[in-house]
Amino acid sequence: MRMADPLVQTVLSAIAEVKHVPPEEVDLDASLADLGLDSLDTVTMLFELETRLDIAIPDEAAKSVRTVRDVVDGVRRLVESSPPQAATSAS
Amino acid sequence: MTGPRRVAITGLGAVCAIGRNAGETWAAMVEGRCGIGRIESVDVSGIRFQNGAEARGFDAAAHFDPQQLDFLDRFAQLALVAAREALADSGLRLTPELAERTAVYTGSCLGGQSTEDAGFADLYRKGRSSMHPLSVPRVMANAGASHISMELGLTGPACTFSTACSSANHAIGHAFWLVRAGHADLALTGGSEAPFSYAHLKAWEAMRVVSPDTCRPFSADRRGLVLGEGAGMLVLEPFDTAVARGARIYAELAGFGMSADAHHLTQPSSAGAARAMRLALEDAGLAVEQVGYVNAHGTGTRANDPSETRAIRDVFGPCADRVAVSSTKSMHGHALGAAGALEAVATTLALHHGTVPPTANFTSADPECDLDVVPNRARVLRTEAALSNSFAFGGLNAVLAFRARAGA
Repeated sequence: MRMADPLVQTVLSAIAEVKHVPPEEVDLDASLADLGLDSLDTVTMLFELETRLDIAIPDEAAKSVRTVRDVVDGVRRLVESSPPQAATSAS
Repeated sequence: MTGPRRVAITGLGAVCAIGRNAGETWAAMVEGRCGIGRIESVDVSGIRFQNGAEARGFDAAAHFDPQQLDFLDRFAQLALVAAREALADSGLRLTPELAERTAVYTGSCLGGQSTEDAGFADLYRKGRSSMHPLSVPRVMANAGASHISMELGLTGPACTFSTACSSANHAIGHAFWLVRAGHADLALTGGSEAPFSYAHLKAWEAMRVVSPDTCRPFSADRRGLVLGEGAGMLVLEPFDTAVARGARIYAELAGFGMSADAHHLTQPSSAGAARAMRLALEDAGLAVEQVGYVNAHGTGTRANDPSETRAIRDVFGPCADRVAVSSTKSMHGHALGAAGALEAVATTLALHHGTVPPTANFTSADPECDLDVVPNRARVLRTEAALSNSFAFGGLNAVLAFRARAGA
């Protein structure tokens, strides 16, 4: 099920890249704090997602994420509401 | 002479969003006037924040001829104008002997980054094949200090500190130690910054710490810092010399404390901040009971303000409830490497006039920032001593301690 959702994969791999760990070590149900992401890691991870998915993540949305699932849900909303080429790159 | 010399502040210069000189800047602070508005010098339509504290009243052409301007990035222009003002304000007449004993210590976080940004844009976007030959001397972070020394003929020790948001406090503190120890008989010291370029604003955007509206330090609904530009300069000289020549002494610079958090690149540590404040007090021979005002680092970010509050409570103990704490960044913005210099001017004049500037734009109290933050209105307050805090990204802290002239 994890494998079936490319957006989840993108988020997990962005987190993995920031923390320099294999993506399989990133648990979808973990909090960002549990994964060792501090504020600087979090903005770096969001930057990765903005670049890969061609989206813009507002500051307010960025501040509200606590868990990996929050990131997936928030990014999905942005991807679904963005112009077609952005949605394509995420699917 | 016995013991270290006392050091007097006898000249001030400032240029920023709320004033073209120290007098205008102080008048605006006393009114609680905020200099934050939509950024005009950069097209900010593609940036998540649109507001900054630009020194709009600064007219470079009124201060420099076109030939001079070729050599000067805006940050160096601001440094020179504030230095000229401070020296004139001191009433000093420089002799060749004194010029050789005069230090120029400046702070700048970014140097001539707008020159660099424009040069890179030409190279990468417009396909130019070369950079302007004056790029290197315009960009170097010591350009401010170098131009001050050259224009005024000051041939003593000169250098530049670049410690992000603490740059100016590190410069002023070291210049103070130099004069106090007798290694220099005069110092022109402060900082300058001109952070407005597209690429630099994009870099701040990515950090997600810039407020989309205004700067509300210590308020519950604060949304981040607002970048500012400007310069502040102080003339420091031995107290006895200043008295002997009948100089106006605004205040004494009495102590300097530094520390490193050794904690995190961007998250502040209250322990490191507290240590720098304690060291500044100790260096000045001051007890917390004597300190009535703290000019806070007070950036208005979620992280700084509670951490700084904890540090002040830690150092001041029960006295924390009776010390006035304000952030003038609410008015002149966060001028990075110039911040400590503008705040040193504010702190000096607060002691001189017996009035503390407010924290402007204050809306509602945050329980985590439960100090007397002098909300929105300046306050008449005669006090013996004051601190001015600067805490940089990278965890480098620098705190200055000032003593009022009264009773000297």
